[in-house]
Amino acid sequence: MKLHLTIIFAIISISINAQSSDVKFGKVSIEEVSQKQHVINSDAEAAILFKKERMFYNYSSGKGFGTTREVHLRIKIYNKSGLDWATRVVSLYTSSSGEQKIYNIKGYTYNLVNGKIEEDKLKKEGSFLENVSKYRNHVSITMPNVKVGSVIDIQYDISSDMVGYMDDFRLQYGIPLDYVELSVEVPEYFNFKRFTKGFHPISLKESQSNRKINYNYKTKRDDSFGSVGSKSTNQLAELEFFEKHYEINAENIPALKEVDFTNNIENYRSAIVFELESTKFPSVGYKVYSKSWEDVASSIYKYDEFGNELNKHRFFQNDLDAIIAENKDSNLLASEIYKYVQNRMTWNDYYGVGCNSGVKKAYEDKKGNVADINLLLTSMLRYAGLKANPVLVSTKSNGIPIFPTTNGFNYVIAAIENGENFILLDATEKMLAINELPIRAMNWNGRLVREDGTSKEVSLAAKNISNKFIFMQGNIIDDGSVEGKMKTRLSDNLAFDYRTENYDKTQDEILKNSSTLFENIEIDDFELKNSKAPDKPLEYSLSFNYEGQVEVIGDKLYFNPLMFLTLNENPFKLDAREYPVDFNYSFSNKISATYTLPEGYKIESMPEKITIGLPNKIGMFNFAIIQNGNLLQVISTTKINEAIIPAFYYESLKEFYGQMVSKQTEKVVLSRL
Amino acid sequence: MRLFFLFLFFTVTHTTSSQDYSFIKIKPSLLKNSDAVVRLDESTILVKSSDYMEVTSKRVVTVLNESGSKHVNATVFYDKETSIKDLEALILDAGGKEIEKFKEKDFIDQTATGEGTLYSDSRVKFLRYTPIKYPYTVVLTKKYTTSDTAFMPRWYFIDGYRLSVEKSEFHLSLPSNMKYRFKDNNLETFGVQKSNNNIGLSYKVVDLKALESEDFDPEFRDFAPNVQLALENFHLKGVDGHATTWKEFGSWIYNSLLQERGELSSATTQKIKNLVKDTEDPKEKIRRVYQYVQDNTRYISVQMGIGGWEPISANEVDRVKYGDCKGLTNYTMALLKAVGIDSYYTIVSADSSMRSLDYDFPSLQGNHAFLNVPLDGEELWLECTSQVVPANFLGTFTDDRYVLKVGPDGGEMVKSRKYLPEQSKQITTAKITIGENEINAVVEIKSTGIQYNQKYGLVNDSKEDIEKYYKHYWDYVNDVHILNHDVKNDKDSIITVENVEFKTSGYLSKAGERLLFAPNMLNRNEYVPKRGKDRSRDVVIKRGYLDEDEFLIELPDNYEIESSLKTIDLKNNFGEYSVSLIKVSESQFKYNRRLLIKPGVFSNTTYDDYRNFRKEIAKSDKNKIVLLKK
Repeated sequence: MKLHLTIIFAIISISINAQSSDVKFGKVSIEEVSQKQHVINSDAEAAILFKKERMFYNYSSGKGFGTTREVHLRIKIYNKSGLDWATRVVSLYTSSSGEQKIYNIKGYTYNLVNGKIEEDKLKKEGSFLENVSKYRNHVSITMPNVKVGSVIDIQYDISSDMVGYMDDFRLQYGIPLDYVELSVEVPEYFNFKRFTKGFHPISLKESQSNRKINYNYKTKRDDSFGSVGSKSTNQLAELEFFEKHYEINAENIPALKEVDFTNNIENYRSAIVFELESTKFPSVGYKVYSKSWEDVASSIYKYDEFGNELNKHRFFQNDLDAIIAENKDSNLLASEIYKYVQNRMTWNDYYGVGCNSGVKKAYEDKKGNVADINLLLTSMLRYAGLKANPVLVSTKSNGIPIFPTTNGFNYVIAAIENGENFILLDATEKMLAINELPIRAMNWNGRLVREDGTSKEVSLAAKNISNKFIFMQGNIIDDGSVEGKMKTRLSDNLAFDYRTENYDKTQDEILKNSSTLFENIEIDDFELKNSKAPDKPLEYSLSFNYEGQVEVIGDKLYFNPLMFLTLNENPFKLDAREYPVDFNYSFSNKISATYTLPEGYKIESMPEKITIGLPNKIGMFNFAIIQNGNLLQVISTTKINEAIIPAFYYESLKEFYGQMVSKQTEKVVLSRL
Repeated sequence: MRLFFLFLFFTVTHTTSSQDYSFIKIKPSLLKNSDAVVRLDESTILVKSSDYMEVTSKRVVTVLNESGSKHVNATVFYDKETSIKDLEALILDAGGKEIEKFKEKDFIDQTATGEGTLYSDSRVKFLRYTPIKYPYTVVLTKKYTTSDTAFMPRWYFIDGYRLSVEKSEFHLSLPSNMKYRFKDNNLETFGVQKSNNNIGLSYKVVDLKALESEDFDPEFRDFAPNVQLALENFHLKGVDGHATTWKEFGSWIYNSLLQERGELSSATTQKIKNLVKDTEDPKEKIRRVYQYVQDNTRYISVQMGIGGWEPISANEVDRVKYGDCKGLTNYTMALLKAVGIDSYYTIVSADSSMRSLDYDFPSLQGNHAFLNVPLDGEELWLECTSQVVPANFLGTFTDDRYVLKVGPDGGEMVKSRKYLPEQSKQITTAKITIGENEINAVVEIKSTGIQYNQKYGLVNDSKEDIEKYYKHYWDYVNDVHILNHDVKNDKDSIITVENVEFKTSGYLSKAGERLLFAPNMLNRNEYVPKRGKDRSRDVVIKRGYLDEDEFLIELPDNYEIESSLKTIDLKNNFGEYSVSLIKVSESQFKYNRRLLIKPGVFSNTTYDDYRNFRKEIAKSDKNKIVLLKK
């Protein structure tokens, strides 16, 4: 089912007829300052009344092209929670290869005092530059004299020498954005792909104009008749070229706030992304950065930290030859190599498409970043004669990779191609089985890149539904307790989650933790199977004695048919939802419980069986209950077949869970014979 | 004297010789309940003058599992006054063999600006190491020098739970003409050896077994062995100080950090005088001035140099209308002075753990400032960093602990306001109408004291967030539809009044012909403390409270109660709990509940009693009645 994909990327191009504004920095209206609450969203703590950004290329003779991004924000504070918006933090990239700098910071705070607008100027003491880490500086700007009702104007410029890179232009926030004006002007030498993301439709206007720049250049004159040295002269020249203009004018973009079951809110907030596709300079010619997926594939192989790393194998040859010699079957061989890398390597928690240490050093150190480990794995698989290739991935926290780009990816895994099928491998986690991925990597589609420059889209969704099967046998005691045995079997991601969580724990510690999950439960005979064998289902069994599970009221006994496994609470509480629910992976939860009734009691009533489903077979819940003499058997199955459920199913999903809760909490009533 | 020197000498040579840190050398008793074993933790503070000291330390930790990694503590903070002279880490494998080496440049260097602070000049270097196998050992050596002698590091012989210690040593050495004070705590039970004289101190302990954390523990520092230190003449960010008593400390703060920072422009003075000109009531004056501060300023924390201790001037705050706790407190103090009211800048150790400044050990302590206003024998308190809290209300951040009041006459230790359980009260009254499929509830909740602390913030939340709050507050009620809500914050009487109406179709559980209904639909206390085997420490309950609930329950037509609730009335050292359900009319019943939780320190042997008390409450709050069709 591909419904969720269409939802995320449905870009409806409704043109918004917002007219170019005449808002000027430093000129606020009395209406803006006296406004008490937001016109559309009366609940808003603050609003961005106006946002203007202009990004353009400037040219200097010494340095060539650079970019400047002019930003102007006008923010209104409606209540005390909104005061945080009086402080802005601008993040700037810094490294030896390129740097963003901020300058011309200006700001005013406007307040209404006795019917008149009073202004306070932002002074130097209100902004702070701070080196946060190796690659990041922060500029914090805090405005003076801000109170409820204030309007703030902030303006600053960001210059950058990274001419092929633009930060995303954000068009939606947790507060309303009343009016936005964006203009990006790009000389013909640069060709950028554009993509808008988010639910709120944004349209981009394109136009062209001519531009002239004057520049100096030096010419060297060589006297070829033996005179010593050369002379250079300054020459003035004029360069004429055309520029592409991209413009957005939009108004009334609503606030989008984060709620539960969200992977990354920025995936759903509107923004426009520019990615360098190619450059064409008169002297250099045409250079492709990322135009098509094929370009992405071939360009990434050219990176030293990527392509080169895949060709190194001398250091592992001896170790690997031994494994190859022992495994003739290619499936088995793949799995053995995977296990070998998982066991040998420890992930240092760093992401990356390119290697950090390099596969050789990583191999020796037995640790590395994602690329170190998974490119090593790819390289080993290839050496063993398997058709293995890297798959570029964007993690959930990184957002969805929306167009051919190398920048958009921040993670890499390995894939073995087998005809139309792919086996995906990620050796950063020791407890993953073959063809399973950790949640961070299960983000829509990845891009498999082959050495010959071809590429293929690969779904990163879980291959199998994750199963949880619980088998329970219990004796109901007329004092209100229940004692019995339980066996749980977990597969795929559910098993992985359990294994990872308890990786470090002894059986005693796991037991201690599970006892605290439910109060009043005593657990014994805890036994865990396959806890360190990811290719087998995980199993644990235990015996329990649980007090207070059965309510003794008068001479009757009441209990939930699933006892302590009951889903008591609907996880979906909000009345409506604007973006998809992310379950991370599809799952099925089956509980089979058999109870022996206490002597001298009969079943007076019990819930009826039920089957309910979600539209399009997204999910189903089945509940069956059968009496057989003094035995009562209950089977409950919940299945969610999709990892991501589009927002327009939210109401159904909430209702579905609601019915499931009410069925599971419907009591079985026993009365004395 | 002579002996002391020998002792020092002995330890120094001992640690310079190479040591065997292989895993197998660890005594089995130290492996029990530990995630890491400190093989050696040794620190020497060498004070050369009141504005110069060197701190040299070596810490060797064998990490047994992933959770143990946090005990490595390969971190060093620095700033303009503190410079790192030496920093190195060696990684050893289980056999004690070196496998990796990190030099100072290999440590990650970044800002130490914390959450909630806009800017600070403090920075940190730390080691980021990915272990490939457990156990492994980190040998960390570091040395730093600083002119900030006002802060003498407190030495913990064991610095966390689930951590055992093979050997911990601490030395202080200083010129004989420099006076110092020290206080050591809880040494005896852990067998710490000590020696001290006028030129230094020396402590040593071996084989400390790992401690497990327990619910309602006392504060770690109150039972774990540790040593506090202070110099009589000290230095802080370029400012000299002298103090041996809290009175002197207060004088130093007043004279060196607060003096002349309280001036205001005549315009502001006039403005604030105008604000109160029509009242003679000092309490009303205070209320108005405080309201003025709340409406016109906001909290922005910037910590640079002495600015970490000295407030920005009142004039400056008046101009930009923001500041940190010190700046806003000093500003409020200045405004109050302008209307003729004396108040006191007060230093507190602020967080919900209710930690007092150390009454017996005057030294630079605390992390927050607020304002104390004495008025006719009453002590009023103003938290100047909040825009919403009422005058004279303290929440869990600053309540009930020793704080330092600073004034022209020096410092004075006083206790901040304590809320008795009866003052931290929540009264819930409701009318619950049960239909066959749906329940309607009209609820009023009044909260004061510490319970007010958890509620007043709601007033500023959006409608969406408030609805979300109630859905989580009553999370055991499914399918809550909020019909309307209204939260009032009465800042004069310091009480919140919430009025909520909601309906639900997910609360009644069906049982054939019958309906099951738990009358406590609106204020359940489901918390049960963890089971505690062999409880070893006192049970500390920091704050008490009182809940009173009265729900009028209307039954659906044609239904009667088949089985009602048992009346409960429990009283013990921990509190009181009572529940009753009384028939009012044919179709109406009244549910009454009262829960009093008392604060106190209870002996370790009573833990199970406390747990049982809470268990009883949790169980009873879920009790159901059975409704049957007539």
